[in-house]
Amino acid sequence: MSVSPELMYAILSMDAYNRGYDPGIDYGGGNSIANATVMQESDTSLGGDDVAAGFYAVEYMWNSDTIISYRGTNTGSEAELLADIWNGWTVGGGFSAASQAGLAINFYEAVTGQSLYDGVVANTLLTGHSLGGGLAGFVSALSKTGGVGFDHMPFGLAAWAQYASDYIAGNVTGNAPDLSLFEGISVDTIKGDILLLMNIVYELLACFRCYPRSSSMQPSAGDVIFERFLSIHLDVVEVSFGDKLGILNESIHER
Amino acid sequence: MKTWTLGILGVLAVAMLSGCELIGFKNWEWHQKITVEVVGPSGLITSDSVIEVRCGTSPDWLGGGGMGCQVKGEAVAMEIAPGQVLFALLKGDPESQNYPAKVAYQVFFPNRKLTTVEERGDLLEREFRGDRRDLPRQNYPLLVTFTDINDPKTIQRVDPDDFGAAFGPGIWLKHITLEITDEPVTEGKIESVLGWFLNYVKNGYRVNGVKCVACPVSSHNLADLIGTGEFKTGGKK
Repeated sequence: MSVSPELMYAILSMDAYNRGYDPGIDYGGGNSIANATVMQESDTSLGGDDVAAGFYAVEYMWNSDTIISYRGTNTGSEAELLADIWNGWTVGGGFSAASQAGLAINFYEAVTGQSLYDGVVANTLLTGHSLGGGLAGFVSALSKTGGVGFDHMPFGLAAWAQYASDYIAGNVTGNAPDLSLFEGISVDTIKGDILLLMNIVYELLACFRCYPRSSSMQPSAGDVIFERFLSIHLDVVEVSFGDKLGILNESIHER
Repeated sequence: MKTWTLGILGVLAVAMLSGCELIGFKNWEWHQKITVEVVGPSGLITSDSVIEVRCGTSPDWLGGGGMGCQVKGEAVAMEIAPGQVLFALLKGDPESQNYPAKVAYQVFFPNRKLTTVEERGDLLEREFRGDRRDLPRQNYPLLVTFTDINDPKTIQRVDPDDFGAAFGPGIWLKHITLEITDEPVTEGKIESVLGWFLNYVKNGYRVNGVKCVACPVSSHNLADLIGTGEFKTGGKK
């Protein structure tokens, strides 16, 4: 019986919980699931940075496609849970500096051989459940490589903050931003508006999926940039966090 | 949405101030000693290492999720002959995970259906002090040595049934045991034996001298699969 892509992505999102350090189910070995083959994984060395941050990811090869699956929250112990909350859930609050976000980017770049902003990587998809889905969405939004999240953690604010930070630092190379995003805004004012938006983002970090609108704030060019960025780079459908069946509910469209 | 964030912070605050057990987290901690006994031309050689194991479960309201463990300690290091050192790593067979944290569960509770996860944790923490058991073959740590102790890339696996291939004739493994103990965690032996070790820890290298971000899951070269954490983990780096 053939497996639909959506079902396979769900299976691989689940499989990331059962590999590496502290697997949910110890299969006792084996580097394949169904007809997908495990190619590489993030560093599982005890005491290493990845394990200390609660991060784990797997690269699979499935039907000639590369699938990267990021593991979600480990609830096996309070130590693991706290590591995921501090280093991973904060991405949902807009902190792109959360260590699992950086590790997710590093793993993506190591697997694909491309920098984050080098554009879509062919025959590659990012996936994950819960925190893992948030990391997949975060990397997908920035890289434009397709992704599928299952019951995923929010990632949009963190992706925006990461992009703004990288752009100001001059790290967005090989993939210049679409200047139509800044239509009517001169280059000299871009930085100012991005910094303004970053301040807005940090003020809103307690607010998932919120937009900078309030009666005290006049819509500004920065607000336009913010919403246009999201509308172009992300195409999301709101889903219930109570959806435990992992039904495909989102896709990240390429530009 | 702010309410949700405040809610999470509130739960964490309660947990930190009043103990996580109040909100359903359970934890167990014990020390376990792995002892390796080898018979050589000059007689019995014994070496051991004590590690700390902490395991815990999460409450049902978080969805449960099994048990997670953390380990602090070192591998066993045994000098078979000058320049020839056997290591019993903090790692089982290369294909298996969860070692060494859960090996005590497997050894002391071979039939898991007779006890709950909580009962096993309680017994290991409180009842089995001084209890020493032979490790079954399937629970052996990964045994390795270096053909050149100063070159980490020369790491090779030692066959428990053929110590002679690694160390010469007349040397064989008697047994490996696990004991629940009160002894303190072993410290400092690995870096005293492996001169390159602390530098590799600092740089995050695997034994092959490479820091991997996307790491191989299988390789003909054992050095590609072993990191410094398999020799020593936990505590300050």
